[in-house]
Amino acid sequence: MLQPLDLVVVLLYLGAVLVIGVLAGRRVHSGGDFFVGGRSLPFWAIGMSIVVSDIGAIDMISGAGGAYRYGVAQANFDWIGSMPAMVIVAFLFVPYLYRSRVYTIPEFLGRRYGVGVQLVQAAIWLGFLLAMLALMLWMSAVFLGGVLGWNTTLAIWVTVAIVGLYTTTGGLRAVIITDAMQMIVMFVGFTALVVLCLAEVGGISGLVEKVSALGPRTDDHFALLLPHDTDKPYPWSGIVFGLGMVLSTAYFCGNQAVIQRTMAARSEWDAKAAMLFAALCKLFVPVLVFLPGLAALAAHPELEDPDQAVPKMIVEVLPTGLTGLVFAAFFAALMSSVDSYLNSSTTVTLTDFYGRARAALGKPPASPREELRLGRVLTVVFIVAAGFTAPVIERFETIYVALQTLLSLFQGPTLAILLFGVLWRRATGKAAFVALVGGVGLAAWLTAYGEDHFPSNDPFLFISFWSFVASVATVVLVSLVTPPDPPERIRGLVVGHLTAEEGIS
Amino acid sequence: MSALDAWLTAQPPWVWHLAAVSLLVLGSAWVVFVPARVVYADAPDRRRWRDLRLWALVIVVPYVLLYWFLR
Repeated sequence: MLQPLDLVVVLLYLGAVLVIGVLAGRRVHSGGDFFVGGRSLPFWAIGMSIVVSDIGAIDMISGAGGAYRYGVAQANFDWIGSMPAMVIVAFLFVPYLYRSRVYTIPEFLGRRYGVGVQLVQAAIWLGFLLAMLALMLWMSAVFLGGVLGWNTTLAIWVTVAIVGLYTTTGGLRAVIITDAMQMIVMFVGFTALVVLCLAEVGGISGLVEKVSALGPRTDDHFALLLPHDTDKPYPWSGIVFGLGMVLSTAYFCGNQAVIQRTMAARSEWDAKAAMLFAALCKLFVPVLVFLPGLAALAAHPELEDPDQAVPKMIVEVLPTGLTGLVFAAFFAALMSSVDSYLNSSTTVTLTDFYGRARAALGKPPASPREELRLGRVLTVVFIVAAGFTAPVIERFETIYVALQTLLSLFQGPTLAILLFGVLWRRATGKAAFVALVGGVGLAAWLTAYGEDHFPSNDPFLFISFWSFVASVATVVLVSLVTPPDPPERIRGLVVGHLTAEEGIS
Repeated sequence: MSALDAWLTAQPPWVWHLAAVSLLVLGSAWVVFVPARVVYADAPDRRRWRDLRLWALVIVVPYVLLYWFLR
């Protein structure tokens, strides 16, 4: 399918990622350099890295497919699913996380609430990250094998070698720098695709005219918000209250891959600015991803599989060379997901399990050089293990689905304990643990038995909202009947409790 | 259908968009109350363009326009 010129573009891109990533590793001398980039990176690189980690190749394909099926309502996940959550995270959470010098969210929760909450959070995140690592590796290999004509096993180990090499040598610094490069490739490639798709269907007016002419199935295709009783999965009430208020905020303040990037900023100002810059970039993502899906609907309204919308438009409208660039953009999205999951898995393991185990055994924290050595060893172990498990992960799809469902159950309760952990000094460790377990239990019960109580067939937006409300009530009530945590535990972690020396009172 | 579902279903489209816009505006506008020393913490200087409160207010505008006009 690809012409020689396209192949040259893809291979040049892979080579450039490898070289730049490995060069970034020359400045890695300690665990701090490896896990949080030596806290030396500018806001724009981190902001671009957050965006590209958030958009996987799956999102590009299924997002365009969603636009084909449901119209622009699909954009809610990048629009109201980013703002105002990223503003709230930038101004409310980032200052406390950055100043506490943590590497992971579970570590922050551990300092604020104790080891129980930390281990529960770390376990669920590590399980999710490792499963996603193997899955993304498998998808990268299938994609690379398909484009270059390699068998899947060869493609898996080439991907392991490229991503493993730059992530092991360069740590988070290499991940962020290559991510920034990958975002530029994605935006340039998809801008070309959007322009040529629109030219194919007669511009924006031609697109609207052709899609609207398809009858009742596209009546709502240009409406961002849909009725509460819509048969599509995005009712306005779920989008505003579930996604806009709870899920998006929980995602951006509790997602290890996102927060770890802000910890790599060279200053607290850069950490906050990175989140806001990412919010600006996210504005353009739906335009780049969903317009080709709508253009495919206008050009080919009877596609059997809507997820084929983007591949079909790529083949039809892109000239040689640009096709290679867009394929490079897809591979960029996949690689950025693999490197993010790999680096975050290592960080959670060493910080939340190894670090806690050392403390429990009465040993001092590992030295910076030992942290670096262990981080690199573990990165190699995880990527090689993922290389072996990638071919079989597809056979265990239920494990992946179960982990993803489990993670979604945690979103509302996690947001509740993080929010009250930062805002309310009276929130106690016992209350947080009860709220976390109780909130997840409620969400699990609603997922299993509560479908009849919600208008949507896939009520995760409503479940996250109600589990958040229940967890908030639990944190407040249990905190008020349990003794307050000692002041030394919450110092520097709660609003009004950073010292004057640190600049916030 | 519960009473809450019935009430949510009965709301006209302008209410849906007003709810979304209110969330965007309130969720972003509160930053004007964040003290300058927090906004500029660690910043190399206090130039106007580094005021992250302004960033938040500017970035939310296109989002508000999208949610108000894309019906």
